[in-house]
Amino acid sequence: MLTLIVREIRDNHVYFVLSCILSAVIVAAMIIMMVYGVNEEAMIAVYLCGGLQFTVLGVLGTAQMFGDRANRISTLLSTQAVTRNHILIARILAGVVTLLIALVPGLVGCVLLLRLRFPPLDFYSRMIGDVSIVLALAGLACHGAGLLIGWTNSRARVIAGLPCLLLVVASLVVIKGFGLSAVVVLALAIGVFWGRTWHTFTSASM
Amino acid sequence: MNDKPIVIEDLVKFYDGRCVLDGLSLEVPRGCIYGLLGRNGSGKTTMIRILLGLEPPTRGRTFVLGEDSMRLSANAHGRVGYVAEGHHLIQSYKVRRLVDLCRGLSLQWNDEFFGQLMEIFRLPLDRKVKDLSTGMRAQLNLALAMAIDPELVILDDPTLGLDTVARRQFLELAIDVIQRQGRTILFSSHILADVERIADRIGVLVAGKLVVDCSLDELKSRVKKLRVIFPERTPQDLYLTDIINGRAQGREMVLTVANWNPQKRAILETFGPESCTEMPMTLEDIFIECTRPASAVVPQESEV
Amino acid sequence: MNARNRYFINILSTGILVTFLMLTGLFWARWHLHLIRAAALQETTVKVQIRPTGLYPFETADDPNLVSPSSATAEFSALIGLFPKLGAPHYILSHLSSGPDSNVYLWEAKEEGVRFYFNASRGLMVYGRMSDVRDPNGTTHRRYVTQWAGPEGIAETPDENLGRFESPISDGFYENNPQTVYDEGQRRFFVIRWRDGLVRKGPDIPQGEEFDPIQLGLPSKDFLSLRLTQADAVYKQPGEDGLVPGRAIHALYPQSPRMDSWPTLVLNASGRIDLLNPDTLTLIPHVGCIPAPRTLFQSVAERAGPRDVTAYSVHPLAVYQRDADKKWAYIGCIAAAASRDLTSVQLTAFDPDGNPVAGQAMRPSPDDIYLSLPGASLVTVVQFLLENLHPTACLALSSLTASDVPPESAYQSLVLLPNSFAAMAARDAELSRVNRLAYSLLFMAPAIGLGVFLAWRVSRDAVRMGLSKQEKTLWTLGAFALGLPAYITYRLTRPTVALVTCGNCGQGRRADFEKCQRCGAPWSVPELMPPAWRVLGEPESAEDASPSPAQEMNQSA
Repeated sequence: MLTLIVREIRDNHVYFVLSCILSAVIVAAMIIMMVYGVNEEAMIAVYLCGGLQFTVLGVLGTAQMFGDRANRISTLLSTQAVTRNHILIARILAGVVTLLIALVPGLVGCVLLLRLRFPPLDFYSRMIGDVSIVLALAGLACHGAGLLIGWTNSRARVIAGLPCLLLVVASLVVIKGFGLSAVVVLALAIGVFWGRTWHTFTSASM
Repeated sequence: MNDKPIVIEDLVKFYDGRCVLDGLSLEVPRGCIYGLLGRNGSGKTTMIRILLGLEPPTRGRTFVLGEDSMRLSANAHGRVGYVAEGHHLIQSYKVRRLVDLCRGLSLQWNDEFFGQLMEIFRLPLDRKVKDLSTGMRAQLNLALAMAIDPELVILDDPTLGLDTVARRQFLELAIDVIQRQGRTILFSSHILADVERIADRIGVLVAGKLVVDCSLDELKSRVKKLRVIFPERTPQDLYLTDIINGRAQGREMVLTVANWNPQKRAILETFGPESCTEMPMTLEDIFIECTRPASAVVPQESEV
Repeated sequence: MNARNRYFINILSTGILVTFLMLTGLFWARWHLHLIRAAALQETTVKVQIRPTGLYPFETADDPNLVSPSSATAEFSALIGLFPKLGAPHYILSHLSSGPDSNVYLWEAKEEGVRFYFNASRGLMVYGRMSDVRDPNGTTHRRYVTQWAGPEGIAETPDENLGRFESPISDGFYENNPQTVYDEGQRRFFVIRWRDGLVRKGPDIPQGEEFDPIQLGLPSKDFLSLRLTQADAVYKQPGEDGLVPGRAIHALYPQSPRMDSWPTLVLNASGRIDLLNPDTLTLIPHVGCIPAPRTLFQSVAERAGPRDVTAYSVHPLAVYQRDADKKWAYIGCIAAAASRDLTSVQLTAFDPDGNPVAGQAMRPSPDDIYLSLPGASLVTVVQFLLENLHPTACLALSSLTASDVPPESAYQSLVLLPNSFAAMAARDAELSRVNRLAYSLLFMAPAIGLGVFLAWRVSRDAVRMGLSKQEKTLWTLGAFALGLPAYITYRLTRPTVALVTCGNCGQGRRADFEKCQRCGAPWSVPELMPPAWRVLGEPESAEDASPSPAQEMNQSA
């Protein structure tokens, strides 16, 4: 399994690097706010880079599956001592690694920033917790959407389909907010994306 | 260890509304070298892909090393060496990286044997797979398949695109591999001389069905091509069964008969032929006769 | 995993995915219709006014010195109101300082800013600010002071002896003024006088259906969309050149900081408004209520609950007694509420006994907004069609839960449509239950019709594809109840097997079945024409033959 995960990361290293860069920008913006106070430009940088992180996750999922189909990678892997389930799990875990790169630095920065400006209160810790969980689930959902839409030979389907699915995920967060109902809906969305991807991938001709 | 590494039961496969395999059943016993033959589009590659779980069947079941092909475990995958037609290798990888990947995924890896193969084939490790020639890709594919010490080897037209020398090299290596005990090989090829050299059992696919499934010796002894000369015209109602092909001209009739036995000889004798001569056939001759579209039963040609 | 489980997973995941996609699209389509309707409203009028309020005892219409009478105005913005109701902004706004789900009443971000919040882990109110502190030697200096208040007192450090508030409801933060708190756990009121370091405890509030306080002070919900203001009556004052317009003699609305006697209103969950007696900390019941705005189906009801309206705001009115009392005397309250679908506002003035003395509903009326205004009927028709593209089950569920779900769910739910015509009809309290059901069904008729049509299509196709009777029944029922998502799911997940012409009945038969699903004829592919002869190897003897894997599996099963 580790071999598969390392292969995924190496083959798609561009997206990991991009995610690192975006995280670095977010952390830099937060450091600026810690030192000089909250300002509009820094907040815009945080929101923009944060939004791009979710796009990167979606594109990563798409690239993993589309690249596989185009280069027939799974055709080779399927004849090795792995199953299609292993291949898919490795892809999902690679997505989780990217998500951690995307989320953790920003989260740590946010906590530090709030600690400086707002001494710790249970109340704000809960809010940070709620928002972090929802953003993490949204990230996983974006990656799952990319996996689902990427398993195709048609570029047009990918170009049209991925933005639609990412918008749906964003809609779910906007509509449901950051409470328990959002967690349930996003968990359901993740299950659906993974389930449908699993079925399509494991029953497809290689 | 499973006595029948390959079992196929009533396999049916449709492609785009066209039936490619129609109720195919086959068992390959352990230690057998099975040569699978058929014309282009007869379903050989399809059957192999279904066996390996790369393609779902429309109906029927297939088993590899005792496991259902559609639910093969990683362990089963790791015990099967597969050389595919077209050589499914990751083109963008360098050879070294591909080797590392396959080594990392394998259950067991015979580094020494792999090294020997790489030396024999003289494959460059730092070149990208897409920059290798077809022959080199075939050799790399074979080396990767053999390095895992597989229990079952499936070769789907492995010498496609190889020149004569490379083909001979490949076959010699295959023979060497074959001689290792307990290994089962399913071998599909269009080059019948190669199959004749190494296979001990033959299967021929025609019209989605396995019309031949027996040992090579048995095939040669049971399929006969006879030149029969009758005193007058060739009989219109030659009720001989298992006629694969027949051609009549004047007093001469050339018949290819399956399952030739004394009973059939006796039936033929009843028609009073003047002479009946057996024409020797190679495997290639037998294959051509078996896969040629069947003519009408003993069509009469106009006498000169 | 066997084929059946795989099929089930495929159906479930595809079905939910299709449902998400469709319902999200429909949600935004409906939301934009609300936006269009709200934008159209902005063009007409968004102010509801009562003038005069009729509450001031000294105010008479024929007073020659009266320049302009008192008034109360509810300003309503449906356009702004739509955005904060979405889940994410709603969460952020409600959890920020002074939001309804926030324990923080005020938090100034600067280093020594005011902090005023409820510490849930300790159960104490906390108030921190810069303060002048006199040392024992008489010098005064400024330092940051933090006080902790519980039911039993106030201290500068958290102390168990202060007790714990269990579920406090506060009237908010007003600098230099006492804080009024109702503790749900202890069912009593407290007044915390921070400056004096005292906590006054009221008696137990008796148990009863109507006594269920949820807000104190200036009860309001969603102030962004509904804002209530009052204007004092303006009288002529003696000036240098005679009588000139000036401030009212009677200061009706405090420009100065509040004091102890300013009336504190208490809103109950039923919508009833009570008045807290500042001396005894007991409740004077029913001094007003949340007025029920008129809706498209419902006539004016007497009272609405806080969960029945999208926004409300209530202000008390008092007259300052400049005589010996020097107290604020309660003279009534003004209450405004906006309907669930943001098409109606009701503004009502209540006298001290809770009797409505003046009232005004927003113009145009809901009927005009839905039907008469330019473009309104088109928007209404499109809304009706969009609603009926939803699964029948969604509409039915929305009708059944019409009165139970909060108004916010209209902007946060994909499945429920509490502002649909079917749900509005189900809420019409004037009709009998049977009539309500009939009207709801009438508004769901296109969805029901679509469900029937799709169920018929699915049923026909299921027969053609050779699905079992059980599968056919489930899919047919599913298509009827769940409409388009179920139909699309069926099309996406039905077996994609080639249909070949059966040699016996001439109909399409499935290639993965051994027998024709229509006539039962055995499998044959006549076009292949394999030869009749076979050359097969000698079969193994029975003793030698080991069972095939399929046989082994069947035996173990």
